[in-house]
Amino acid sequence: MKISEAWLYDLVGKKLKAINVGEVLTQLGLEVDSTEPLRNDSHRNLVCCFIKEVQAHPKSDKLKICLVETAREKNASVVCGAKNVFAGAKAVFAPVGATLFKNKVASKNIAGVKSQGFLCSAEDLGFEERSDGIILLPQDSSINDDINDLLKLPDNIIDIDLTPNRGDCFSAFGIARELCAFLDSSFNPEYAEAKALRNPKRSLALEIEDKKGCPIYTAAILEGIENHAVLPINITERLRRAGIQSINPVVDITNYVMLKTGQPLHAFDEIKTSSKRIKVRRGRDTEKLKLLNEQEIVLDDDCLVIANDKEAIALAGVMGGISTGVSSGTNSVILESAFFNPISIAKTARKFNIQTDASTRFERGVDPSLCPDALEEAIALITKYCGGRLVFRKVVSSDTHIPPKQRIKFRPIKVYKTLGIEIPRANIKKILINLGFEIRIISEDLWEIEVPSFRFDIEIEMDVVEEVIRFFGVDKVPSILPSITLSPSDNNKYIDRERKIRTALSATGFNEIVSYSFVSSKFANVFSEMELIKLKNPISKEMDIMRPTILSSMFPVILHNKSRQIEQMNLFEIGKVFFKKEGKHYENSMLAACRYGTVSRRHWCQEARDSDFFDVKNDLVSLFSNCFGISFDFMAAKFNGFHPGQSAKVNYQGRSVGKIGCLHPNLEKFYDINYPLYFFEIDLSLFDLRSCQGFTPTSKYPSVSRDISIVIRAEITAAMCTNEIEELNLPLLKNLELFDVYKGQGIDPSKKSFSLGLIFQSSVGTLTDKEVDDSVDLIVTRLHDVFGAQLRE
Amino acid sequence: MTNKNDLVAEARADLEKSDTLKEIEDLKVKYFGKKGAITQLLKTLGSLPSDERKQAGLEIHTAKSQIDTLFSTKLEKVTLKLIDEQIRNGTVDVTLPSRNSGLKGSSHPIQQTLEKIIDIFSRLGFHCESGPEIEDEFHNFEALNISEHHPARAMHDTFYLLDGKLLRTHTSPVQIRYMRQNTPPLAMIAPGKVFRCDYDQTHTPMFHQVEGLFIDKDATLANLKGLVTQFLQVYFNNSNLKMRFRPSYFPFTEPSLEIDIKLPSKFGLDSWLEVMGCGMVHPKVLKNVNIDHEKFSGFAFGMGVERLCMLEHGVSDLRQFFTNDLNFLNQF
Repeated sequence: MKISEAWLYDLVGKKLKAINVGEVLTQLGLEVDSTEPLRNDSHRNLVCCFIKEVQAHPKSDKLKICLVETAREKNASVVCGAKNVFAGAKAVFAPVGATLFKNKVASKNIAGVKSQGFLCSAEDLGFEERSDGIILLPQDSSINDDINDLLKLPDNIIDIDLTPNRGDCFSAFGIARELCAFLDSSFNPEYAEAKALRNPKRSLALEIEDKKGCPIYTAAILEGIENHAVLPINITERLRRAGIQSINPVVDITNYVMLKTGQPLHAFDEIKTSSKRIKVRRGRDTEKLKLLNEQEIVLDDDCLVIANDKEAIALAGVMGGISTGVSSGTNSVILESAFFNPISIAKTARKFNIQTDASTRFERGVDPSLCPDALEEAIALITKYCGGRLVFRKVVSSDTHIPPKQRIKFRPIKVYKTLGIEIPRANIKKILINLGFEIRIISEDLWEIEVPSFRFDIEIEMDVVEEVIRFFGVDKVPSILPSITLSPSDNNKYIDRERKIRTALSATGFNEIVSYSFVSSKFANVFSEMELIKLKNPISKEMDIMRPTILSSMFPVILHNKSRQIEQMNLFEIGKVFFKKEGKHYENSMLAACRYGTVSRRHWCQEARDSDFFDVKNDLVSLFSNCFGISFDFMAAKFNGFHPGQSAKVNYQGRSVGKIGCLHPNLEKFYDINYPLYFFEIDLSLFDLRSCQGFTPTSKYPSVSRDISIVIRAEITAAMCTNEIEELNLPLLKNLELFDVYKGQGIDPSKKSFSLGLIFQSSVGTLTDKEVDDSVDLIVTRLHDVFGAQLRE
Repeated sequence: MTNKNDLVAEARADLEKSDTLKEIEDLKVKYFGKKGAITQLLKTLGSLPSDERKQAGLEIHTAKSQIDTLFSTKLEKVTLKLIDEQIRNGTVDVTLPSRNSGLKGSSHPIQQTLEKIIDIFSRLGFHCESGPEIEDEFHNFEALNISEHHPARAMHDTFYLLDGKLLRTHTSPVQIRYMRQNTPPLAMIAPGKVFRCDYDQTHTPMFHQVEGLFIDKDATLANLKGLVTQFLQVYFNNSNLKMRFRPSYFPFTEPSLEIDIKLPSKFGLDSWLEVMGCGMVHPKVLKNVNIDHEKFSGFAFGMGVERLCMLEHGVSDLRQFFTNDLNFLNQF
């Protein structure tokens, strides 16, 4: 909330000049977001004047001739077109020779009458964009007063970012109270008092149906008001500096009283309300209400409304209805000052997504004892500036529903225990008393604290401790490292795992990305067959699904970079994916990586080559063998978004742990992707970091290597072939490598040739040719028996 | 019979004419081979009378060793020349580009910041804990003293799923789970992704947090100040870092503080920058996790990872982290 610093000076007194208000408020937990200075150098030589006489202008009905008195001049004649000028008013006079925004005021002839300067409007001073009349200075100002003092210039507009617990500081009084306490005094709010109401001329039944929702309701009727008066500068400027727009005098006054005291008020046009009764009740189902902002809402039992005989006329504590709104033509008003249940208001405001100055205050808690005082003040100000008479006033309250004053058992030692340093008890007492707390000392070590009715945030002992700390000063608390019993902290295996993968992949040219966990259904469906998890309130339609695969959020990143002329990228991301299965949510930690473009750039000594399946397969295989010491099995498979001939299920110990493959050519074409795109995505939850568990001693005898080529049916896969050999469990076979595949000349078209590199070694002696030949024979025989394979000549 | 001295002269002349290893090898055969000149001479020894044999033998051996020396000298010379040539031919322009993949590789700046934070706390003895990102009302709000109509819920623009579950708005639920499963003393941090329904230059719907918790018998606000001061000084590598603690409000801590820092002016910022929130764990929160708040006290703190990363590197638009433009990523 914004507040004029000058207003705070008026409330707290001169001693405030000694401190930096912005810094102190921040120190007290009322964080000052910004301080906007209002300077006093845009004008010079303006003075306060007393308008002695107002005469008609001979040539114009709209203009008047005013005789004004200033400290220097007894009689100056000024032509003025403002409606609100009247004899006896105090105004701001710009005499000949004064400057306004660097323009010098000269003597002027207006419609044949000489004007020795002019009377200033708020617009002339740059306070408002457009104003209807001249600035009226408070009646008690004197022509000898410094005009800047009267205009409260210079000033600072302090913008405070209030935390939600501090409803009590949503007013000039509340902030003044904090500042007084900081300056070691207590604040005594003063309210204007309305004239006593002797014989109520009017009656109005106040019926509170929901006493819990509205424990206190006070109302007054003022009739015969003129709702087009110009309010004095201290009210209009305080409102303006608080960022509250001027509407009409009655509304401005209710806003002013709210800003000053913290009590939101509402004014109904009494004629438009046309009811002998005001009801505070729950909304009725399907009942409609058009609000002041022209929004039409449909009510229900959840919301509290103010109603006349027939219908709802306001959403209680949130916003009034348009049908009973106060306008400049209003001459009779019903003023409302009530205490509404904070939770009820919070619910309603959230339900309709309407936040107003009133609802924000009610939600956070308004002092229930304020209602009558604030109403009095509003009545006093309206009758003073808009005229009119008070003809009705009533208070209805249900004591059982008014929040009782909290009493808290407080042990002063708790301050020491919490802070780690001692604060003298006398200081603690002083702080609490200045803040309006009452203290009953039960024993030296146990006090009973009565919390003032405006503090909704103080519920437990610790809350009281915090008050003490705020005013003692957090900066005075020393910094002391805690001492703990040392115990080795376990590593977080997820984080270690990710860190290892991150290091390995980034060292091999992969860039890590972090993409949003929400994606559009378009990308979710492209890469997944899972049941999707939808957000109820997404930020946009493009982000309404929790990503079922990382690919669905990585793909847009690839497209983005491609659009930025990046032709080669290897990306990876580690993160969670989300899906539903049999009504249950799953979130799995995954690793996804992609390879886009060439393996290597064109280069003076090598050929550029596009990536292919076996590049990305190597990325995967070597990463997992390095980080986890494991190897995978690959099985051809088909997945959404993948090239049906170039994709595989990745299996680990018989369990499917992920996918690998190439982007489907349809997508390639649709997204105009010029280079091959390969990717894999692996579920990380199954893997633990590799830990070395013993080792096999290396053999000191030489190894023997043999290459064989076999001719085999084309449909037999490499894995089928090598699996058969591995199943033989040959003790001497140390390594098996399929290093060539050949189809073509010399081979039956229905067949192909595999070349296998075999390495044999024994740990007990040098191998003889015969031993090696026997092993090779076993391999060839097995492949022949199972697949009909022949040695290639 | 050739004169032995002539033979040496001949060998010298022969060697002088030859420049390659092959020629030298051939000459070796000419002199030392089975039919070589020296071999032939040695064979003649047997036919000499015994009184001449000794003298002749000596002369032949002298000639042989002279020729040997000639050979080895020449061989050395030729080898050196060959290596010279090899070096000359093998000289490259070392400034030509390397045979590279063209890819730099990097870990994401947010992850780097996260790891840096985790490292500091791990070294201080804090345990690092993870938890689910889809949470329920209890762990995300209620257990943390944020009741249904608590005004603080308005601060958390929560993403809800259709079934009433929600995306965690902070990593505090991890602390709730941890406190329920472990007994004090506790020192832990919870890093991870969090989600809030907000999107502009300074807000993204997903961001990262690290929250920490310390619970022991006599943990105080002074300890909290000590610990986070230490952390920030290490993080910003500045033992004179300007810091300000000011009271604030969080439903789960009481009292609550916010921490502002001032960075050296090379960052062009002279204002206080909010970096962390913290406070003493609220007694109601301790109660919710069955820790006796009369016996134990503790403090909690939390920080936005993006915020620290932005301050450290001078990044001004938060959204850049999630655009993942390679020209951006490659700079980290």
